Amino acid sequence: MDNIETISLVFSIIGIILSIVFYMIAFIRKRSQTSNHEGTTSKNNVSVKSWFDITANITVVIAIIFITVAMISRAIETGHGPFSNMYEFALAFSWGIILAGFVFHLKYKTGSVLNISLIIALLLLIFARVQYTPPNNLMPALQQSALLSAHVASAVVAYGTLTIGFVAAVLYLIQNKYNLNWLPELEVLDNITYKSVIIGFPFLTLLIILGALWADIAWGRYWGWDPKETASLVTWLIYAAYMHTRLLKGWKGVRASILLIAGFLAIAFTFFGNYIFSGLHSY
Amino acid sequence: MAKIINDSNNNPAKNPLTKAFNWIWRLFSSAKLAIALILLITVLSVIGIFTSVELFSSWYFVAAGTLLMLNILICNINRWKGIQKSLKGGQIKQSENFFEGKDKTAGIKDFQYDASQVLEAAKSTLQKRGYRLRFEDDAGNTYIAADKNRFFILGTYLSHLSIILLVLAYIIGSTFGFRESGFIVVEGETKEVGYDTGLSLNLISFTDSYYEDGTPSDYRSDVVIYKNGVEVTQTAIRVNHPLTYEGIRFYQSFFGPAAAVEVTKNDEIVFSGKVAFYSSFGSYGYYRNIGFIDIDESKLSLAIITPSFNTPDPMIPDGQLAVLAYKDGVELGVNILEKMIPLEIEDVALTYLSDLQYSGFQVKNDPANALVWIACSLFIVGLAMVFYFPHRQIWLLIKNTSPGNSRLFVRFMALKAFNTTATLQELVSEIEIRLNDDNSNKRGVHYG
Ligand code: HEM
Repeated sequence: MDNIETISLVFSIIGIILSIVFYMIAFIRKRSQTSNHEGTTSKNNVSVKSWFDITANITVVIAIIFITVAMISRAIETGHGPFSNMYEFALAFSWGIILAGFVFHLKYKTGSVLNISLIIALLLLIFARVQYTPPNNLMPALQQSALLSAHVASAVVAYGTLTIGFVAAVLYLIQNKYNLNWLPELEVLDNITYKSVIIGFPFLTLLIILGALWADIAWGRYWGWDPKETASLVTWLIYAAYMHTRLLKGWKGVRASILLIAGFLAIAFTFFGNYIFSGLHSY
Repeated sequence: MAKIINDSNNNPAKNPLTKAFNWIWRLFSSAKLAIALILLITVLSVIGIFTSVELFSSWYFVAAGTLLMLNILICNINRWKGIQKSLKGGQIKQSENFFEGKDKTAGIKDFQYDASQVLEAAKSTLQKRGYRLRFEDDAGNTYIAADKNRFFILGTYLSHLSIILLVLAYIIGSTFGFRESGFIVVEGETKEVGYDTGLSLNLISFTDSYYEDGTPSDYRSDVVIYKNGVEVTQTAIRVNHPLTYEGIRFYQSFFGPAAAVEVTKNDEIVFSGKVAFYSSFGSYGYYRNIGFIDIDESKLSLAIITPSFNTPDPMIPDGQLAVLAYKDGVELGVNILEKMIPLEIEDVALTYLSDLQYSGFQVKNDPANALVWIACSLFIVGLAMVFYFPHRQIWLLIKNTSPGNSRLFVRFMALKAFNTTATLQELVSEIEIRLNDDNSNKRGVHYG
């Protein structure tokens, strides 16, 4: 089991690297062809560029399958969801980011958003590989498998989609400033950010609610203002601010992108919070 | 409430009190204030993370939260009229200006078809998409007001009200409930819970188990619960498995060493019981547990100390205890206490009978528990309603421009956040396709 898990993880890292390279090649060819033969679309060119695109798509799917295999074999080994250490979290979150990125790619045909998301996921996977921890025994407070698995599942959906929103927001700022013809249009980017919050925010809310439910069962309190809890509240408030500025004031574009970037930083802070706040609950 | 707003809008206020009330009402009706308060609370929370949790009970944090609650409440009361209007669907007949919005939510399209044909096509297109339609005819023009998902706008009420419910639950819980976070019971001891519950808890045994690598695997207290002296339940309380009895919850919280001791004076027992070493202190790098006994008969206070638990103790041998005695607050000195060997201090004799463990529980009664979960569920339901069933309103005007020609005016309304441009174009082109299809079937191709 241990072997399958490690090998799958390494294969998924290779897969992600390959798909990033394939998307890059597809992208560069597309650019050079559109700039060389302005207006002409020779049949040959079209098939060449789509070959790389298709290969990249297939490689991403294969990478997702490998991470899934790694996660399943880990779950079989430990008997619970990925919630007992940073290695398991990192694996689950990179899975969420890649899957969300791929789904958004299929819907909006935005290679650049997917590509940057893949780079973030790749860093997380490498982090997971470096942080590899053999299955550890669950301390009593973590022996609440169903609730914690649901808690982490919500986190995977929320953080996965909100990462895509973050990438689109960063690209929005770049596109807004430099108006690059090879980046998606502003409206498409803005639409992606909003859709990511529409999916991510309810799951972020669910994540906090499930966390509070667990805290009440394990410690006898829903909320205790410990740094990790507060950080997740801050994250939630930033996205609530995004929703309200958008719904009530019609904020889009630059200001909305800045809020989304702040929201993502809060997510990263919550995620890596264990390293910043020793003690309390380092899980 | 809506009435009050009306009055205040119609008659300029004369009374300074009314004026002040109106001013406050208007202030708290503002979405800007809501956004500012959300951001303020965000910033305060970030500061709280890096400084101290005290901040979250500071007056300014509580004040910001209270203002936000007031803001949400007043905004939602104010919105009621608009919501009612949206539920009804608003006015059907709109002026042509209404359809000439400069934004991308309005469109005008000419057709080489009769108005009646365009009307039919628009009707079936909208109905297929699940819109409710209302019509009005005036001077040969047809007006349509269409809407969809109108009841889902109530979702914002669920979400917002649930936030207020959560705060209410917190207030109810802390007013009418209780929380005892250090309920300590030694093995073999029975202790009353208090708080008029009539409950007492007898700890049969406490067991801490560990994995092979030394990390804890289980903390378990086997207990019996009595109500007014009658046994009502016997069970194990473990971390993640609290015991709930009549709404009172017992959580396994902490544990530690304890001892059974006996104190005699003139051969009479003056104290026979259990000492929980529930406190700990460090001195010169040695961390030791400590517990206390008061013997009122002799005005003695005894502090009983265990051997260091972090390193071997040079002062207190393993399996023995140290006793620090005070009389009337004056220190009498330290003695070592060996098991089963009485130690004389002043006029009493202290005997250390056996080693035990104590278990520390948190005992809690939260009458608003159910409310918390109702509020959380409402919140999620409300979110799903607003996000996944967006309310949409469309107004159409169809007029004949000349025989066989007509003009369609469309105006789309939805929350600012939604991208309506694409939907508007989709709708118009679907009407067009439908028209062309219908008519190519009936009387051959008719290019418009
Ligand atoms: C998370 C789920 C929430 C959703 C879906 C939501 C949605 C909305 C919507 C749609 C409005 C505008 C209503 C209208 O004008 O028609 C609104 C207003 C408002 N929201 Fe929220 N909200 C949510 C959470 C919150 C939270 C967490 C707060 C405070 C911390 C809040 C505070 C407010 C306030 C004060 C207004 C009033 C603005 C006004 O009506 O003019 N909301 N919200």
